[in-house]
Amino acid sequence: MLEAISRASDRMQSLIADLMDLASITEGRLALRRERVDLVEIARAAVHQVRSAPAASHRVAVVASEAATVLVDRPRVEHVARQLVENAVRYSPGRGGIEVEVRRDHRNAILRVRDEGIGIPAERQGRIFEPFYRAHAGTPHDFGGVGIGLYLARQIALAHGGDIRFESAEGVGSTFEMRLPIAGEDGS
Amino acid sequence: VTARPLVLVVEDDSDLRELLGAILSLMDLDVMSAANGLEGLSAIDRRTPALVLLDMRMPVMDGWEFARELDRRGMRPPIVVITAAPDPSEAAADIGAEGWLGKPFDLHELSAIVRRFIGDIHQDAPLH
Repeated sequence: MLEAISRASDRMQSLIADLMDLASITEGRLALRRERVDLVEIARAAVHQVRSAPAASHRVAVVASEAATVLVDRPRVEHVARQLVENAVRYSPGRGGIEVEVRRDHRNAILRVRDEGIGIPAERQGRIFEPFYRAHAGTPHDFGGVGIGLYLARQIALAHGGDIRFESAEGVGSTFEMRLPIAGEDGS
Repeated sequence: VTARPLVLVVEDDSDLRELLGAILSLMDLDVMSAANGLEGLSAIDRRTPALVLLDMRMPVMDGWEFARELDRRGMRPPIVVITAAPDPSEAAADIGAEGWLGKPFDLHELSAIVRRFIGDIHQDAPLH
């Protein structure tokens, strides 16, 4: 956090401190407005949005997926999906494709984003969900950002009773998974 | 499902854009972000925001041109100018904006002005 503050200069110090306060207040109690939706729809929407951005990446595609209905706050979960896809694009500069797929197991719907990018150094992997932690700060792969995206994304997943996990190998790529409970037939 | 009020942030500083996006999101608002006026216009083409937070000095298309283009299109959501100019009210008056925030600002100033245009956001929202 100190690193982010010094980098962001005094114009944003107060906002960064405020965001920390706000994040601690909302931790575990983000307001959700749930609706039933197929996670595949969310994956497609997120990919569409990333591809229609000015710095579009046409290397991103939703691959064969399984329908998986979840009871979620759609804009918030779309935000998470978009965040994961944007991160994959950001950390795969000029290399490899990015695959997004939806799978399900007996309990969870799983949105998986796989890249063949620069990966996350092993010694930094334990901290990537910390607010204001930037795994690539000070490296040639420092593409900016304040480091709040993954923290917020995980908070949203946790608020839904889900989580975000990842596997990554430096120089090989990363796979991020958002897991969300599958909605019951009765709407629960 | 009731949709959250939507705020469009048009700001070329990517760090500030990310911070504002996170804060507004934690305030239980929906957020669209744009790095300049042109991106802002294409965001508005997709969805009409309840409020625009607008930086003035930006590459590609600045805040003045963005506001003029909105006027030309006859669609004008409330705009709050965010600026480091010595007299922020002047920049706001320039484009007929409804409010302004002088940089640097804090959460209280931000939430006060957002509340002015969006009203009671959500009773559970941790808005100070």
